[in-house]
Amino acid sequence: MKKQESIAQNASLTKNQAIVVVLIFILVLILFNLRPIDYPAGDDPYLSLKLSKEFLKNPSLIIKDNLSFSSRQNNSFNLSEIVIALISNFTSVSLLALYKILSLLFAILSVYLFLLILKHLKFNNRTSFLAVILLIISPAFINSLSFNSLILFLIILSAYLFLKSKFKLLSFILFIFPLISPLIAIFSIAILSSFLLHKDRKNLKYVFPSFLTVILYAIFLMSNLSGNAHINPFSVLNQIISDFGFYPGLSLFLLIPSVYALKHLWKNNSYYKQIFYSFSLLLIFSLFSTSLLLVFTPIASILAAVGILKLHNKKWNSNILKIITVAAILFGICLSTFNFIVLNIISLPDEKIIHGLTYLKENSPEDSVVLSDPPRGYWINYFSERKNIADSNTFLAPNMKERLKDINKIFKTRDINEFNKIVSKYDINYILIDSELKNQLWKTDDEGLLFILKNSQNIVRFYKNDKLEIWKIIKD
Amino acid sequence: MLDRKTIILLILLFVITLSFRLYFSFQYENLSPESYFHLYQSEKIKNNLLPLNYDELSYSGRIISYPPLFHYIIASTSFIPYNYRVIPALLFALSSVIAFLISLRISNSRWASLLSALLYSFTPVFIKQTLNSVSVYSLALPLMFLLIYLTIISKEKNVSKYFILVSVLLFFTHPSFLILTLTFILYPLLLKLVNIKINENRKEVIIFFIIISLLAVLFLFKQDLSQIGFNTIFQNIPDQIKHNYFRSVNIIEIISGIGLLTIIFGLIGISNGVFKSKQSSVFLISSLIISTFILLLFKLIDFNIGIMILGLSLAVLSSLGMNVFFTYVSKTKLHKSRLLFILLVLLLTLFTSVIPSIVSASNLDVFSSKEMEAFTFLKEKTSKLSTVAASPIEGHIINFVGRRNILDTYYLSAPATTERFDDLNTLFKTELFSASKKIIDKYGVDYILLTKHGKMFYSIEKLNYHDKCIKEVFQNEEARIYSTEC
Repeated sequence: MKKQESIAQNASLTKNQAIVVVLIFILVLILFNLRPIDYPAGDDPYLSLKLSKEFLKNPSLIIKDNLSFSSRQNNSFNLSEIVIALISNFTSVSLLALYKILSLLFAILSVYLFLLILKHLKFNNRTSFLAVILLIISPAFINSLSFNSLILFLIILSAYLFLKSKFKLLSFILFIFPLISPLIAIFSIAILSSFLLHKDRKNLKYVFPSFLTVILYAIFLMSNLSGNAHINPFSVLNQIISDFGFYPGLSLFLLIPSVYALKHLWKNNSYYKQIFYSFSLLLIFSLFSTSLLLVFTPIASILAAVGILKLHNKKWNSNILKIITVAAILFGICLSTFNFIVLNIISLPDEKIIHGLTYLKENSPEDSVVLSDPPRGYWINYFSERKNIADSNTFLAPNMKERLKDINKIFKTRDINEFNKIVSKYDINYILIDSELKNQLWKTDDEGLLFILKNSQNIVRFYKNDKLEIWKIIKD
Repeated sequence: MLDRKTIILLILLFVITLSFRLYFSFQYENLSPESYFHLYQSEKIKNNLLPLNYDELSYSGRIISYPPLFHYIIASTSFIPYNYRVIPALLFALSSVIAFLISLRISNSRWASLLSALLYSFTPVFIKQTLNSVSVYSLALPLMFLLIYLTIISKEKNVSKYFILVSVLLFFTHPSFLILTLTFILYPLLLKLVNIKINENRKEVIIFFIIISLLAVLFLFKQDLSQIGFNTIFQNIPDQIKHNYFRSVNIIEIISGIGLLTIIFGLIGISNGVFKSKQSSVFLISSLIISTFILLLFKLIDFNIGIMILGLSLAVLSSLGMNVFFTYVSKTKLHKSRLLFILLVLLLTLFTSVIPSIVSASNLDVFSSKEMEAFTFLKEKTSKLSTVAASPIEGHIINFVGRRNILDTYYLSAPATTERFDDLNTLFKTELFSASKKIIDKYGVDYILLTKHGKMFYSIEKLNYHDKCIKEVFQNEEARIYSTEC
């Protein structure tokens, strides 16, 4: 009994370690909020914001999204967006503020639960200390601070309830989880089920209700299957490893010690074989959906902490090699965090782009269709409240391949007939080009679409600042 | 410790290798085109003490991310006459000593190791690729093989410090350190396959190298990784020449480039070291061979460079093959003729490696004096920062004479390489002036250079369009320069 207490005590963080964890968390928060505007970076958060905003206006949005792809079946049905919209409606707190507050709250709760898990697993306090820091500074966790920390919280909560054998509560959480993030829920459920099969088969019944929601959700999606899934594993590889593309993926230096830890743990316990299978499965499936990295990151943080400390505690014949190697791993992890934070600060949209998009909302007819690159699609929906041709939610999108091909064609063409054909096909009214897109696609003002915009008499410049141009197509 | 005779023979080998390289190198008035890239970078370091981060001449302005150590060495030795020929030759000759040391560790036979170092120095493809070139491989290859040597002797005292130092030097020399990273990943896997336990010291240096090399990649190629991500491994090479650059593996070319004797003894060495004596150092070199082969198969490495590394690795392993051969001979009735067999191997080395090397060294494809006159004209008679359109292989020479190019052969971090390659193709091959005018305007081309090499590259004799705007301002038997005056 005394021995057990002593292990539990060792598993807790010391006061100094706890202070360091809090300080690192605050530092990450400060750096993350160095963005010059309140609005988050990238495009994913704007899908949630748009859905919450539109839900208040039109609850039928659950079935049909009139703005995305000019009108499509809504496959992003999400309970949290509806709940947040309702809370915002009742409390009069803005959606953006509410998302931020809740994200911070769930992020703090996630870290707390993560520590409880580490304590339960009886890791010593050095491992727990390092694992929690690795989690806090991981790009996936930092990114979740902007909008999806609820998902991370649910993942960690499910694992905690499982470890504590609180299966009834776990059953309830797994029941609602698919309504918030179906894909992540499916994987979390699959992993938990595999552990139950392995160790605690009689409790498998508690996972069944969640399967019910998953099946119902799948039926709902398949009932109107008009598009096809589009996966490009090679480009996704850049997103899995944050160092290859500075996306909120995994740091290469978190992955290496994780693999090293698994290699060692494999010898010790068959329980870890189960972790190994889950780890490998998640890594493989993350190639197809980077959102799964949220499930992967807490596991990788624990394994990396074990791996780094194993490397450090191992007896090396050359002390200098050991110091440099361990320092390089830690430095590499910090470098990924730093790169991601910098990217978050400088990423679009910025104030000028938001100004242009708001101008479009105020000065264009409500049913206008706006052409831009797909990653700008959610911005068009959220800020301008206008229809896009395509956005980043390509899963089950209508005629997705054809649309992407047409968008690519219209950006590259100098042929006015080809341009007009695509404009009438999608009934495009406005064309939106920001500075980043301009640099990406064209080198001179005479290339592709820019040539047409400059020379066609039926297109007028509608809005311009140094970051954004909006062109209006005048129809006969 | 080496005996006196061996040391003398080793020094003799060093002197022969150095003399051979210097003699043939001085037969050529001009260097290989890639040499001008290194000379240009070294020149910039000499003037500013810092490497170029942004080059306003290459691609008419682009970011450069190239490890600078080699350029610092060339810049800091500029007080030596012809340092750009002497220093690389010296470094290559030194690498034969490293090859000897590795061979000695593997075979434990001085004679076999000396012969193996001889095969290493006279690997035909090695000579062809590096002889008349200010080649960064003159530093990268010795460092790579030195790291392999240090890994083999990692059990000895203080080796780890040298290993750290040499690793850092290699990271600042050339991205080829990634071949070694792959080697060090494969090596423990190979040993695991045959149930050989890896020695702890070796494991430490390997873990160190893998981690630090990945960190080095993030630092050296941060710009490319943030722009093209994982595609950085394809080096941003234009689509049109990817096929030529990363050619398919051709057995005949491999045999003639490496040398038949090297291949035979190298393979005997591998089979003996891997299957019979199970030497972990042979597994290490074999991992290097497999890594290079994988990179060649997936077309991730330049064909000639890949073959060169394969050849040099086999040459090192050939010492074991020769030792096996001589040991076998000593057990037969022919044991009294051991010297005769050594002479026979020497003779075969002469025919399969030395003579092909001499042939390669005498027939290098370099720019002629007539062609270089055109570059001198550009330097002396055109205004500074003029933009010159030429074939990609001439790009570095254009920069070296202080003029802007549209495309050169250093593609990493360069803008729109495929598009520029296409545009230059149109500029040189089109029959319509309107098509060429569009490209001239797009890049602000002031001069169009067409040398003998350019004619071969584009398969043309002269520009096929005529207009008052295009005036020939320079002409000799092998080069023409047109100015664009509208």
